[in-house]
Amino acid sequence: MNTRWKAVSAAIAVSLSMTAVAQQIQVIPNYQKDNAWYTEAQTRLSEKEVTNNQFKAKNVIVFVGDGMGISTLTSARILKGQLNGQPGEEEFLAFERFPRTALVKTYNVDAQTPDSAGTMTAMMSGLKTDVGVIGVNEQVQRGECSTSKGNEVATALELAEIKGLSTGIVSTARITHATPAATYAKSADRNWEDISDMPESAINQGCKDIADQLVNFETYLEQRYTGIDVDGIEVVLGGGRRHFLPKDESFNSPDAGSAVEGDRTDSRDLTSEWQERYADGVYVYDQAGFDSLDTASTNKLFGLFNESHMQYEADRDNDIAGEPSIEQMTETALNILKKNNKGFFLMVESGRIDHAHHAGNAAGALTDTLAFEAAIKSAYENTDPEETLILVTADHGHVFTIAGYPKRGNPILGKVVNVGSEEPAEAADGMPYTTLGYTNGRGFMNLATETNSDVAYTMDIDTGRKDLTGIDTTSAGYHQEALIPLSSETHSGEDITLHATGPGSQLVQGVVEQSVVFHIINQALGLLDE
Amino acid sequence: MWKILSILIIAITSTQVSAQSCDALWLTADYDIKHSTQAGNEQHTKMTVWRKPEHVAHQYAQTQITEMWQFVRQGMLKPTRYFDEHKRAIEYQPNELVHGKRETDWSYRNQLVSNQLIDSMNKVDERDSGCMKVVTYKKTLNGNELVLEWLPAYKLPLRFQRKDNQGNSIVWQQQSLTKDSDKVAAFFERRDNYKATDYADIGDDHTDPFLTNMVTQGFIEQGASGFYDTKGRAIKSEHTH
Repeated sequence: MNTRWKAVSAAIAVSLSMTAVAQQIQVIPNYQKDNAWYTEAQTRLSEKEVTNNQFKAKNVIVFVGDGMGISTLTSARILKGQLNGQPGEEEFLAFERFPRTALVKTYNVDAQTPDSAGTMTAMMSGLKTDVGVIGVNEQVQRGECSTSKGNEVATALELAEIKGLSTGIVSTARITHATPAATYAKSADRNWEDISDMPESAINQGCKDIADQLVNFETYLEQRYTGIDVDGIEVVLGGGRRHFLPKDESFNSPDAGSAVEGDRTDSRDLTSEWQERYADGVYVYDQAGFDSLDTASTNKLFGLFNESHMQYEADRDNDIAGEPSIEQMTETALNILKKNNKGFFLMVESGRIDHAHHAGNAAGALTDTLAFEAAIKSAYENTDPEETLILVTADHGHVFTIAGYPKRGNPILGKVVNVGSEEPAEAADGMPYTTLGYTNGRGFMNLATETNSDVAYTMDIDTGRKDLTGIDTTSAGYHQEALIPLSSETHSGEDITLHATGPGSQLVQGVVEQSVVFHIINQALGLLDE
Repeated sequence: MWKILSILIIAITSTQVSAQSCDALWLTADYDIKHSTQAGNEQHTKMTVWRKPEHVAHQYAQTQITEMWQFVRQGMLKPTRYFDEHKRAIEYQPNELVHGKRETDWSYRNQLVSNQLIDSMNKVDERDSGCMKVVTYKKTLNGNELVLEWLPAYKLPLRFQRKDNQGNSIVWQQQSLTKDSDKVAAFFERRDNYKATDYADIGDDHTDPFLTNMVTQGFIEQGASGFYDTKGRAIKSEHTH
């Protein structure tokens, strides 16, 4: 090709290119590129182009919404928007705005649909294990103490302690329940919450109950690793007093709801044992004690606010002595943990989302999800995003679904009203139906203003279709219809989400096994570097 | 009828509560519950009341279910349901709804008949004295004729009858009343040692055969304790309907 042809070719190429640009501009009309959805999406994308190349964090907070599957996130964000007077669908939960998200596979080694014990062990230890066991690998036979020996796994919280970080556990469930227990305990059975729950053989073989393992965490960890010196968990806040007190009325807390509050049959008062070990530590059991805390002078905190699980968020005002919210507990925990210049590891569980779903009460589950969101938002706003990795996830989902074709802005807890209509749509059976429902469980209940989801267990199972005409399905006590009758609604086996922000969050992407969560924490904190 | 009752009273007095005080805190009372229809059908069930201070249990031998209520602080009632066949229990929180009813009336569970209902009835007879004094009350409630023979010393009915205007009736008849505190204590202690599950945890452990099958074992059956009308509603007073 001679020079002249080269020039002609170049001119043609430039001309074609300019034509293409001109055509592209014409292809996207102004009403499209100026559209709010369009510009908003472009802005979000631009924000994500800014990459933080810092992978190491000083602090890690892991938030676990027990049972907070994807349909729970969607319906909670819509409820949040609607409570703010908006249509709702356009809303985000605070952590849904975090820059990184992954889908997480939740199955256990021996179960397609998992439980909290196996899933939380995966997140805290980096390996999957069997359903029903805590802090041990899949070699364990559930309920057999002897098989747990030699199969204990190290957890992120333990490694953080060994590294000299401050550590904390917060839960609205019993602090000995499967999810929080997986941060600190090793147990062949998730139900061994206190010694009275254990078979004689397990006691004789030297297995320790979960409550004992919490109070003596420092001793047991130092026994497992020769030469280490840890100072114990700084903050423990949750429910479950019954597992720490003797089965003796004289040990009742001032706000005991049972004639004999404690369950322990070994006469041990673990709250006293904890106070003896940590002379400068503070033990609290009610809202007043919690409110009077001085976090500046408190370095060890142990709070047990209920005999069993703490109240549902919607039910907190009904508690005998009052209970702090999950947001309040998280704030207090952070104020104590932040005092360590080396950093901290904190796990916060919203335990009762799961329970409300099991009871078939979407209103309860969504209300606790929004309380959980408030705790996460508070943590994000009260920590330095340059040095704190925040992970938000669930352990598993529920058979909870959003269905039908309700119009935009239709109350998420309401009956389906089709686009262009003001009246509830009729199903093929001539009756209205709700947007939210469960595949299985106890089914329909109209408990009106009842805010305790668990009341469902005292009512008859009533699955199948009901005539909802005249029933306010948006009330706190409404329990959605279910298809398959079961004594309790079940977990689901589908993926859940992992949301992340802060240094190290760049690794949260794609579809991952649940055990990856541990490895993300580990790489951010360098737990195994020393 | 009076003859039978008199014999019963004498039997109770002479063989079971003789030389005992009128203390109503520790006792056991057996009841026969007879359902009769106009068509002449008859069905009997048994129920035993176990009582110790601030605790009352209603034991149903046929279903092997025992329902227990603790009278806890601030006047609240804490229900527990024992599945005797399985030696398992489901523990509720104080003041929870059970079968759609929030238990707030200790007298109703502890005595089978609430003070409110007794106060609303007409006293028609009184016989005997001391521990075995029997006071008879009557009342018509929503077309039902109620007759209560009441043992005030023990705060329990000797006999309670509800007859509707279709000729159907139900009669709770006390069969025996004993006061053996050791036996009562052993009864409660045995159940206290059952493995108890907080009812919030029912859905949380799918590998527990008891919990997953509980629905077929009578857990959900309509509450059978105390006195109910034909629709399963507690008979307390006209204000409860």
